[in-house]
Amino acid sequence: MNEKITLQDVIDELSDKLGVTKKMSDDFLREFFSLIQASLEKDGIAKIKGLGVFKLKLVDERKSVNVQSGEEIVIPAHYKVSFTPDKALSADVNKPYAHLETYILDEADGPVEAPSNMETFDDDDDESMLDLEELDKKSSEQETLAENANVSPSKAVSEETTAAAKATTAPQLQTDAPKEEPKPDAPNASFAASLADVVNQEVPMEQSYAQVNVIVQPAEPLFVAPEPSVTEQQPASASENEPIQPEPIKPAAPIQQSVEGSLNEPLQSVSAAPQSAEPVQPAPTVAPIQATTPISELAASDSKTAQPAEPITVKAKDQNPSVSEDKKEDEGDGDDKKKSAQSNGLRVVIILIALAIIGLLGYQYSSQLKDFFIKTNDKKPMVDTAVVKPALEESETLEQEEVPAVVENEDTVSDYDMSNETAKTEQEITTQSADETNGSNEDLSNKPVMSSKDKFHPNFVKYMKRTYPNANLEVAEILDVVKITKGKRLVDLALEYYGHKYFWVYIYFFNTEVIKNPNNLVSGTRVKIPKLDPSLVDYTNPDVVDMAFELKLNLIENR
Amino acid sequence: MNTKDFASELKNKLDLDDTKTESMLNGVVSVLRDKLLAGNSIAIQGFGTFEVRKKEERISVNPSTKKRMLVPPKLSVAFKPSVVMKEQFNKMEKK
Repeated sequence: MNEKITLQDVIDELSDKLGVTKKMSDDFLREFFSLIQASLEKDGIAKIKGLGVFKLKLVDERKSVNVQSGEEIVIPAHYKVSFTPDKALSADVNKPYAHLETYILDEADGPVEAPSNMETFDDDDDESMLDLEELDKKSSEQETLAENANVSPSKAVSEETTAAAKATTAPQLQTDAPKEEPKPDAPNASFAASLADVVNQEVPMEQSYAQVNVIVQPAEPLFVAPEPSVTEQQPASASENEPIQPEPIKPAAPIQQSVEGSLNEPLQSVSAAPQSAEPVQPAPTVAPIQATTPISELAASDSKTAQPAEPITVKAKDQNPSVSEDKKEDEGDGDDKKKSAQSNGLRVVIILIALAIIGLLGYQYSSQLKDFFIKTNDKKPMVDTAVVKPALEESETLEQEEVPAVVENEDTVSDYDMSNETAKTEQEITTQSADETNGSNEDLSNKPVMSSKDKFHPNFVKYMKRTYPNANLEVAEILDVVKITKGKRLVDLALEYYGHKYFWVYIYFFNTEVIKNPNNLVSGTRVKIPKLDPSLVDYTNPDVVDMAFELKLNLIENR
Repeated sequence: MNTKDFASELKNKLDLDDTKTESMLNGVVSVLRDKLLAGNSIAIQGFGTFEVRKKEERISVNPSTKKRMLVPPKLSVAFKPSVVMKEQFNKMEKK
């Protein structure tokens, strides 16, 4: 694509194609082009079948103005070469835009409006067609729920952090003296964000480290997972929190302290700066602890197999970019030691929250890691599988026990996508994840399976029955499931599967769940192609084509 | 000069037979065509450059009916003659 091909490339290609010597095709091509030139000189025209027509045109001399100096100059008469490509060639080259048609603008439309081509309808994206609006409202409730769960990466992180921040304030207010103002939230949240980033960076790094780390990772989030899901869910579930929390913390806490101690040493050495930031709230002390927790957890589960030194070095690297923050935190840490008696309770609470955050993040990555693990499963020794299997089982039981855990799972699915394709828009992700939760278990590429969900939009069916009582809307099976790639349009699919572009309306109404705006397909959307009654997609019959066209006009354009 | 003349001229110059010339000629055209379809530009030294250009959508007005129409974007093949060739043409006597 967009390469510059030279004569030599053409020579090579030609000799490969026709099995002639390079010399031969070289001679031929040179002669070919020089003959075109000669023929232009002689006759002023050269027609080459399949390529086009070259013409030599004389341009008369004309007056012009030098743009820089304003002088009048005369452009002398000269020849120019015009080239008109062969009809077949220009049609083939234009294939990507072949479906577009010239569109007559209404007088009322104003100068630049209502373009004919589908991609430019984007303005009225979010509106659904009139007939569908009612239903869309109903579904929008569910969608917003889903969207809450499936936010773009940055949002997801920020939401977690704010959730965490909320969570921190609540216990703080409960357990601590009024000294603890809600202020700590801000640094806490902001750090949590940076921590989230650190953790995000950490995960791929760990992947590249010993496999042991990778295996450990899924285990870590699993025992903490229920925690964040509960806290995120409702404030009322604080009571629920209690029974679950003790489990994760008991194993983590003791190890954590030991690791923390070892980690604090380098940190403090880094922060030799004077404790100028006295007023720093105890809340920032969460930071070092938070930072240590992943290690402690890793170390905890690693201890059998791997050296804890490794993750710690990783950690140290990660913290370097945010040295300034570290300083503050450490000062806060020092501060904290002074009034440690006062804030011990706070610390415990904060540790819980830190665990929750890390657990949430880790849990999100767990699915990714699971996938990663499954891919590399065969390469790994048996011991590893033994480690992960119970973990997986645990996750399943957790999901069964708790509804929020399932919601969480959706989140992880979308997050997994995001980490793969960070450039995606939020909208893309929501639809994709919604789609994936619909068909998470089915093998989409190979075996399209017909399910009860797969049917035309009810309002569309109603409309069809009213207007075209003879139309047979039965769909017996799904021809294919197509993942929309960039630049792919419903029109293309219709042309491919039904033979005529107008039939895209049927694809749209079969996929209203995943296609919000037929004029703006979100890439990654999985579109199901229904097998339609042949009478419905008989492109040789102009009536049928007209019907599809009218459907498009009536249902989609005249909302 | 049309394709037939062109082929016979080539045949004489390169001393080839009819079928060979025709297959070579078709081969050249199809190679150029494939390259263009792939979106590449073909630069032939001393002759010029073929390339695919995108023409943006535009609004055109039918002068007689005054109807304004939105013409969709399109891809087309463009040829830009090389400077060398242009100079040679301009050395010729202007008719």
